[in-house]
Amino acid sequence: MYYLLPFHFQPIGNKEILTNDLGDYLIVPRGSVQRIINREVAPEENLYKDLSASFFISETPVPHLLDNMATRLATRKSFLDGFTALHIFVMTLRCNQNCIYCQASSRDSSLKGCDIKESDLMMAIDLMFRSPARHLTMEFQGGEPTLVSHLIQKAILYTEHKNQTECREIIYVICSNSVNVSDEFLDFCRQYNVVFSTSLDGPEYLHNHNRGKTDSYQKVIAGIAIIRSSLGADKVSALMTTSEDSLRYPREIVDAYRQNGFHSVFLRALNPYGLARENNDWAAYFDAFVEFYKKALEYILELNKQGEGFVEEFTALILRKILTPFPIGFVDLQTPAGIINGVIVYNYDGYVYASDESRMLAETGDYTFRLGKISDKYEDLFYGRKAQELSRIWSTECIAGCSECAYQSICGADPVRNYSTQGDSYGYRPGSTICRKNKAIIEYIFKLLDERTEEVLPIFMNWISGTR
Amino acid sequence: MIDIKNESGRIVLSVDTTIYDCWVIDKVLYWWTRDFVISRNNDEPNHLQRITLEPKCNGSDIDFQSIKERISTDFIDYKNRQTIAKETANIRDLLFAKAFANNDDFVEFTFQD
Repeated sequence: MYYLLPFHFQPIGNKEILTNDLGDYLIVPRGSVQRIINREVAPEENLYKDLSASFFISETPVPHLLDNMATRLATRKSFLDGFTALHIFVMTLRCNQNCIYCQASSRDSSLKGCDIKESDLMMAIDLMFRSPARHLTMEFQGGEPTLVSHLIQKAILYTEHKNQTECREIIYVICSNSVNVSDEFLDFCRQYNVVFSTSLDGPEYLHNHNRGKTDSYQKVIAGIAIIRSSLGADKVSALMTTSEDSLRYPREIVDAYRQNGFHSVFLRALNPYGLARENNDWAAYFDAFVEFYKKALEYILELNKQGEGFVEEFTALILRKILTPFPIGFVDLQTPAGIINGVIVYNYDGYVYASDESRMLAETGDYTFRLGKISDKYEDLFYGRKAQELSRIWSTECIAGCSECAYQSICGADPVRNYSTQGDSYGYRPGSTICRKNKAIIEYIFKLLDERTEEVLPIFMNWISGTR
Repeated sequence: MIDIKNESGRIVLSVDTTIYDCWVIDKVLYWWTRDFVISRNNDEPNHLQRITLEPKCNGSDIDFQSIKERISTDFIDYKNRQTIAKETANIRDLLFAKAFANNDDFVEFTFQD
């Protein structure tokens, strides 16, 4: 006789994936769950031992290792301990590029009234220091934030000054297109250990097409080279966004990253915000994206098998959630959701938003996720009425369609995306493209782990152990 | 038991509510609401619920056999999920309470078995 412990399961082909809140998983033949529930699994079976070792069953009503289980669950949720760690400062909406899918609704670089006020910037930094997080990431975004590099410098100097007494670990990140970064500004960045995150969509023809320019690729590559030579090779990372055109070039995109000295790529789907919102058929786009992702991942696995250490970062995030007991810092895959708990946005317009996507919605005239003014009290912004309302629907554990899902601890809740795509923050999972995409990718990774274990597991372990 | 029929392009289920209660029926039908308009009627004396799934897109081809198979397995899977949830509700509450309690307040259990 044994007792059940809480777990979820999902049929996948002729097998079943069993998962629990602690991060354990088992892939077993279809019908095993029925046997488990019917108490038909005998102690001498390997399945019994696996179920017992992975906390799916217990030989006592209250498991002997309950405290151990609780510690593992707490570890899984330890991203909540520090509360908001990522503080995004939208310095300006102005930009010197013209990307066809711009998610941030950027404005012309010469336009006035689109920069953050210095007084708001300083108050936002004061708010950031109210966060209990030991480690803070201060991310400067735009538009193109280097258009107001003087404000970034003031912000960092003020932060450094405050941190003499606060003593936090602070990482500075500038999200820049790298097109027009001055030597003087790079000298400043070197002094304060600033890292750059830039955008590279793939090969020249694709990148230029996505940007609506003929010379964007050359400028970005030149910018990356300048940042690398000034700050160090590891001080610039790149993100790609998969436009509809990008879907045809999985290998070419990976190769473009390799050729430009990167050892990883983050295969990132379009977000339904800003200009990208005008896409016609999101369901078809996400289905095509999953196929694109699989092709690119297969190619990356081939490269790894040939001895080239190259990582697909989204897969690595999912793998960390599947194969390790630890949480990840990626706000899109968190439950409770990353909004407010993990990230906050101080916008150029003087207001505080629940996430990057929330301020993108605001550019379309929708202020649903505006928490208040930068000048408001910390408590009112982070624990106020809007935050409380959101907290009712920001956990996969308690929303319809997610609460029984086997992938609920791997996936994340996202009320902002629900609202943006479905007009309802609670969300409707049967019609959710992000649910469909995440499920398809998570299942694919589980299938790889199950069916091609010897081939992929050593590669995956390298990716998540950081020994690449 | 569930009886599943194709009545002029509509899927009609007859579900024994002594086996599959509202929790299970709600969870199963939730995932079909994207493509079907669903109506439910109770036949109280016989403990049956008659459920009609009408395609939202008129004239759309429905593969009755595959839908029938999926609905059948959905009912069994959600019934199993319900059993697990019911049997483990207390231990899950205990687990979350301990995980999010102040560590200093932890009380160690002593087991005697």
